[in-house]
Amino acid sequence: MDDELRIRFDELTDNPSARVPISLVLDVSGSMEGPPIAELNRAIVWFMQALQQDEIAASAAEVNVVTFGGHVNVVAPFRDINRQQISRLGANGNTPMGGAVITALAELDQVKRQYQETGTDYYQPWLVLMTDGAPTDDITQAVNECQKRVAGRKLTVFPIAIGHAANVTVLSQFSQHLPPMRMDAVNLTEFFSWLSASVSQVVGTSMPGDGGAMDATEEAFKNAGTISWGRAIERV
Amino acid sequence: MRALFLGGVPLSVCDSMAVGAGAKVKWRAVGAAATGRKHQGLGRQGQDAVFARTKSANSVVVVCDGAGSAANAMMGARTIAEGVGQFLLRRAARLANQDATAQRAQIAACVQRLVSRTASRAGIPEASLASTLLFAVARGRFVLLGQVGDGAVLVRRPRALGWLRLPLATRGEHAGETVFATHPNMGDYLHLACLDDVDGLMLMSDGAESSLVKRANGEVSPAVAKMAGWVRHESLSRARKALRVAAEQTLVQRTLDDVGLAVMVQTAALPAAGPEAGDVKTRLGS
Repeated sequence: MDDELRIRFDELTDNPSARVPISLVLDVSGSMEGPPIAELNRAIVWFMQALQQDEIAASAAEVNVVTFGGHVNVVAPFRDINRQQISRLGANGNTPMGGAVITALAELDQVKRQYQETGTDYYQPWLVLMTDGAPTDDITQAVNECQKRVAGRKLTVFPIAIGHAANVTVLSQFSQHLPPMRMDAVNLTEFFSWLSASVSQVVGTSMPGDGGAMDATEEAFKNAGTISWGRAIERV
Repeated sequence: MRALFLGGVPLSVCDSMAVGAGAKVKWRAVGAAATGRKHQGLGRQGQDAVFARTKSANSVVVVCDGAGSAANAMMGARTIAEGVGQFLLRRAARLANQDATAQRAQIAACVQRLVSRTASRAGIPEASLASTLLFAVARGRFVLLGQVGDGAVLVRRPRALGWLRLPLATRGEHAGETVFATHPNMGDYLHLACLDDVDGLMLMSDGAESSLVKRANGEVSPAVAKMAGWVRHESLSRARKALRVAAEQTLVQRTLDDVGLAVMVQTAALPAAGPEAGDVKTRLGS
């Protein structure tokens, strides 16, 4: 075919790929010391590698990490997966969960503003909240903010209870329609494998914008433990 | 006549289609669809469907993008593209003499009939056929454009320098969130524009849009004018092949999504009717 009847790549527009912002809000309080924090570190490494190895997920996912253990810390700000560096987490201190969630929501708002300014499409943000205990600060504002956003379909919260001491009643307040999952720390890698695969699933999938339908990822999370990633995982 | 302002540039908008009656202007229509890299990787067919056809004085293009979240989206996109395309070809003359309210009611009723009948025959929920809908019907100088959901409609005005994007799309805040033609109140979400001063237009699904229109500022890529030139100046078979190759080999490389696009251009004097001047069959993602 003649060259005049072909489109060259330099004749196309180069839009940024649509992003899936994922905020990992992780309990690193003193009770996570020992095997739990070691498993959490291992699972995060696994998660980042799984995202990088999947072409679709690698082009879409942007992850940040907010920890709460003694104080709230943005360990890793939102960044392209291939440039993201997450240092090894240690465990100590109390459990300021409310402050961590508020910080994560502010970080999500900021990255959304950046997307809007650069004409970058983005999918509904995800917030993964993991704890093995109960908050030691006031969570009222954090719960209200999460509930408002979840109800408006501006946020999906995945609440994860690690071990049997985690307070699932508290966790359940953060998400009205996704009940918490309880799992042992050794199952965290399975959860993160499922989460990375879910990024690919959601990218390129269009859905009604009227909030009438639950997206496939939320549906899978609700059914998890029976079909997706559960061995020693308990629906709470 | 009223004005539709687009980035400060007024486009003349007709209130009825009477402007097209008796006009000597003719149109050519070509479309192409290609399976995106995500569906290729999963071994699935694409969910974009395209209809492009000229029959006597009427030309029609339709682009439908099946919803990834819907179980029978491919069936829905194909059904709506073909059904709405045929409807517009048959009814162009009548639509040309109606006001927007009547046009909207007829087109919405057509889509609802198609969806209802298909769902009933297949024993599936209507919502599982979810698909966006973009269409254009031209008769003489008159052009009626319609859109439900996302994707883009580009138009070119005679003597204008470039292509403009019409603000007809319905999108949510988040990527992929939109409205589908299967919505029970689809007519409420049907954006219509009746224009009488365009000589070219292009409809595209959001997958094609990501390669052809800059999201940040609406800037249209040079490839749009090039593809419209094929349809205007080349034989239909060459234009059809070139558009298919562009969709399958180039556009899909810039997106994970399926690609569907259709071009319709005005031509003052079409070649004499022959095998090339015949209809362009519906093209579907494969």
